[in-house]
Amino acid sequence: MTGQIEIPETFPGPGDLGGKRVVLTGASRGLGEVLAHAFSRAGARVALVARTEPDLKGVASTLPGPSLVLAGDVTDEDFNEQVADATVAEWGGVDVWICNAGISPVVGGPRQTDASVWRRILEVNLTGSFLGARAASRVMDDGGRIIFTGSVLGERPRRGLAAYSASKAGLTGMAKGLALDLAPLGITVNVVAPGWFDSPLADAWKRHPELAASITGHTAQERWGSSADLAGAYQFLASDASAFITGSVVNVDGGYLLV
Amino acid sequence: MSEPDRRRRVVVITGAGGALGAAISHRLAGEPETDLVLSDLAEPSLRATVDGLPEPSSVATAMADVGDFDQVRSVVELAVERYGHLDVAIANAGVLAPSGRIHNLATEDWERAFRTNVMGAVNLIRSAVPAMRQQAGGSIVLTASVSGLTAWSHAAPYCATKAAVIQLAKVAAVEYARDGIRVNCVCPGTFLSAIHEGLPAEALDAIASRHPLGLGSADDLVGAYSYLAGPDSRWTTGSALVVDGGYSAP
Repeated sequence: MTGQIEIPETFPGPGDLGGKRVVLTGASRGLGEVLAHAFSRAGARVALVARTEPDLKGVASTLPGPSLVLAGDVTDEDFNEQVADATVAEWGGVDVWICNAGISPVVGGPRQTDASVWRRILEVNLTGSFLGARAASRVMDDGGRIIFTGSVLGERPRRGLAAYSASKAGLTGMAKGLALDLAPLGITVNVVAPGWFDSPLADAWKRHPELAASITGHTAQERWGSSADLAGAYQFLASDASAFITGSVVNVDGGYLLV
Repeated sequence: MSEPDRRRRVVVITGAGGALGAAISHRLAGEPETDLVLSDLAEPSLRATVDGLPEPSSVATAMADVGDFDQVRSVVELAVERYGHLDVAIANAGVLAPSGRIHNLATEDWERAFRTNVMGAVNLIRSAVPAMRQQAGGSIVLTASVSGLTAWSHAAPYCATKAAVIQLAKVAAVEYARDGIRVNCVCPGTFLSAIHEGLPAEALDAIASRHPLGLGSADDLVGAYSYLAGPDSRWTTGSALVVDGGYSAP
């Protein structure tokens, strides 16, 4: 006998984020600030994490929904555990943890990169994300979602950014490893890898016509990404619709990796 | 009839008349104890390759259309008849399809690209494997392209067929590992060849600027073939060795 596939009564939509309890690191500016707005507008409760409290309060004051302000350094193991505890104390749990905090100084070649600079980049981008995932896995229940912000530069680097590229490539390996470790708990771990986005951070690149052209020429859609292009992938991976996706990388790059 | 010297290495190369095929042939002909069987579709270019080989070289030639299995099998049979066995098979024949976006390409453009680029490699694997299994070993090297890993606008048949070659190498590597046969491919970037003759300097500069190490030549590629053909790569199979001057790095 051939069994028939089960048609569910309802399908979870990628926008179903109402009431989700989301920890978001690097939330005070850039992509993190965009994600704070996107998740808040979608009905999520957002715990905003970054080093500078006044900046976080500024973001929190503009969000339409509930938020927490938790200032501290993601490279501090105890701080990550405190973020988990504070979010549980306020909202009873954590559904989504987005490890988005990162730094990307342009430092030059290996002789221009002090060992301390290398270590700092790896510490913030890679170890900071691990410590966030580690804290998240303690307090998350079945259905938990951990999302790392990677980068297309992890796969296709550019000059002067070796440490940054290594840290972002490392996130992909780490996500796959943690996806295996946490699958028995029902927690998924995935990466969103943005391409080149129009933001204050990109201004230095856009000021040089040749650099700007080298980026749009490398992007199949021949344009910079906009803030609105980014949040959808995170929202999908945070939602119930992505329950069977783990250890994956979603590139949001306009086709940068194709060319 | 004298007993063939079993210790010599026998190498078959298709597409030996092109710039890359000629450079590979020249390199391997200069390596110790090596007999070559060179093949191409065009007699004059194959003759030019043979004429350019270092003296003395041990070489036989056979005309073949790699898209035709029987013709490829004849090349391998010539190698086995002449030299007694087959150690290395290099599937190097390939065609660039006409340049155009997909909706402007005809079915024939695709069939031509698949016939030469994909079936040419398949036909050489099919022909070489039985001979190599006899001696429980061999190395097959396929010419793919960095365009099998990155997208080149207006070159869909070329990109798609070269991606197929990369995957073909991987599957063949898995299938024939138990027979001691290794299968790898080389993914060249753009290198100077006859198709660039007559291009204005600005056009060449534009191509060069996309290669961090500058524009390459066929001679820059032959080391990869020598390595994959030889014993130094004995624990390498199913790999796609990118030789592109850094083109695909950024």
